[in-house]
Amino acid sequence: MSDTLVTLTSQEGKPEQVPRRIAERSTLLKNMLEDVGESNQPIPLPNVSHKILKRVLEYCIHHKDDPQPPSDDDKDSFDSSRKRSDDIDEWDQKFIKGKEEEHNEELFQIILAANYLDIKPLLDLGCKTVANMIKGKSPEQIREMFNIENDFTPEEEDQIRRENEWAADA
Amino acid sequence: MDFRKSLWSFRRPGTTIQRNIPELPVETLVNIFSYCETSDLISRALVCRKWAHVALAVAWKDLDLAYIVGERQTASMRPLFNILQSTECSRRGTASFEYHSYIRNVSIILRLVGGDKDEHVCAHNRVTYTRSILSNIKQIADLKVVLDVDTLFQERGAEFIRHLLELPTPTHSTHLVISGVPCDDKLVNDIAQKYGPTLHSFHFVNGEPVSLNSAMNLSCLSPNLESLALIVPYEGLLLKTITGKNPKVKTLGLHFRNPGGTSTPSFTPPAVVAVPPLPTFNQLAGAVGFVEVAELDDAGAMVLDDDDNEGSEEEVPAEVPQFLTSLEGLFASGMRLTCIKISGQSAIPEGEGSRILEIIGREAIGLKRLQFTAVRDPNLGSEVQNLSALSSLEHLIVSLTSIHPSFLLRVAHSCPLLTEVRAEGTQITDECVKAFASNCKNLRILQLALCVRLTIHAVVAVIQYGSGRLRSLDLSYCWPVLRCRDPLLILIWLVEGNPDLEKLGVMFKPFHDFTSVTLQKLAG
Repeated sequence: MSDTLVTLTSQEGKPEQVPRRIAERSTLLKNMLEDVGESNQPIPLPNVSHKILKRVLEYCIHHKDDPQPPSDDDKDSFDSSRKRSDDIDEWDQKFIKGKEEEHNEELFQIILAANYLDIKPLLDLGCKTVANMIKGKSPEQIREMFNIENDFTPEEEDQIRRENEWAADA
Repeated sequence: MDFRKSLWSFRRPGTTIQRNIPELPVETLVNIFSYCETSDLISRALVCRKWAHVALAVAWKDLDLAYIVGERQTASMRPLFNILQSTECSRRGTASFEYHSYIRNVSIILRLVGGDKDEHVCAHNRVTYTRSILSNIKQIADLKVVLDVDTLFQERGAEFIRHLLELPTPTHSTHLVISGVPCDDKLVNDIAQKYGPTLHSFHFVNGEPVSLNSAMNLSCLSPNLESLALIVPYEGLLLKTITGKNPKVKTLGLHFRNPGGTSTPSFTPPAVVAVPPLPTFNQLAGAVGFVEVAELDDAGAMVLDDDDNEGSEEEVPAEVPQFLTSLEGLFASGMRLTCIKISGQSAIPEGEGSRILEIIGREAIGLKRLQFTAVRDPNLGSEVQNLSALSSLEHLIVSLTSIHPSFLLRVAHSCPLLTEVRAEGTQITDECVKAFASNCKNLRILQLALCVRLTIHAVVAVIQYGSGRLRSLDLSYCWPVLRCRDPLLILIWLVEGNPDLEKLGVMFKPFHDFTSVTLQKLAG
């Protein structure tokens, strides 16, 4: 059963065939396939572009033999203390880096896709990468990197600075 | 999830402009920030409003407060008192960032023991202030409280717990370590009622016993209990209930004491105390929580007075088998005790001690500490053969106990990881000391005061077979040791052979004129 092929249709309507075992790296697809049972119907993924889908599948193929990450339904990410971001393995690092010129855009698309498809290890990889990118950067540099506009009033900025000074020595 | 929604509601339309880079959802930002250093907080928070709310929510999710009398300070990673105070005073209603709404995990350590008058006033203010901060908290996921008070703060401590009961019910886990607060059944029942489903640790020690009903009620309402320490009237039934209702219990400290405390108990049953540190909680509690359990037991041991044991002979046989069955049931259910402590001269009626030791030796897998203090049971342990469960034992305390040397010999051969052996006032022999020295290479502490069967051969065995890593050796009042030609010379060899030796007890007064002064010369 795990050798059967599953058809995924990307945003652009382009079909992509993958072994069911690979597709099941995504918790979303895994649950879907379990609910539907044996079926040849293509699964539409309107939120994922073909380019990003190919990239995500590349990741899933490389990690096809990894153990399934433990589900942590009852614990959300708020509960755990600071996690390590320096434990990314070499292949993953190279994978997530992608092409230099469109790095940021693609990285974010991958994160969104991993979030939507519920592929926790890939989502964590993306998040760690972003965490490493913003490490030690000033607010201006981060805004630049992410195309975010400063929407603070000067008073608010002042408040945040004043009330979070403690963190600098933490 | 509600929390995230509330974060979304902070976002005002058009606050971030998307070009080619898509906006990340809040939960992804949370995930990203959980990998970030706290020291970069301001940078993240100053990017935009949405980032600020997420970054501050991640950074302020833990409220850690500690107030320990004697250290004259409030240990908190955040200058929370000041900030929340200014929040309350100056910006009520106008603040963009309400820190207390970000708090999800609350850890409080209040250790109000001893200290001078100034400190009491100070501690008093802190308690009041802590309460006012807590009353602003809207939601709690994890609650951890260590409350350790002496008689001066008893009432305030009880009041503080009642105040805690008014806070939002933790959604995830609750750990309570309460020491020195006068215990009443209503309080314990209220705690069970409110925290039951999320209660992971509950220690209520250094007070009066709780009633059996309350203890059973607590056990039944708290299926997730992992650590429990209580003073309860003796009743084997409770062990049975715990075995049945609290399958996750890893550490169990039950101090059996009947209400009324110091009145001579007709029968004092053995106390089984398990006191291993709970890793995550221990970081929080420091030395506070679990040490108290041990202290409780020491204090309790003094209550175990056997002055008059005659009238109770009939009661004993009925209760003991029940205790033994429960103890066996406890192990059979897979419960892993790390410490077993039985103390008191009348703790065990004749013959039962060996049966308890037998069960322990056979079943108590993973036990680290075995303590029989002041147990008088002739030939205790002499016929116990099987100690296969005790291979990880680290501490053996048999002070003032009528333990049989053959048991000690067996322990020495079965427990290679022992670091501490206390056998003051026992019949321990030279042969046993030799066995401990040669088999237990981690041995650091060897307390042998008042062991009148020991001779200089025991000391020679320590020198000859020991690993040379002793930190403490007490030979005080083992006067036969001095019956040799030159005990001083041998002691010098001992000191030379054990460079880590910090304490060497050789007080022999009034029996012999060989005092610690001599030792100081020797150490020099």
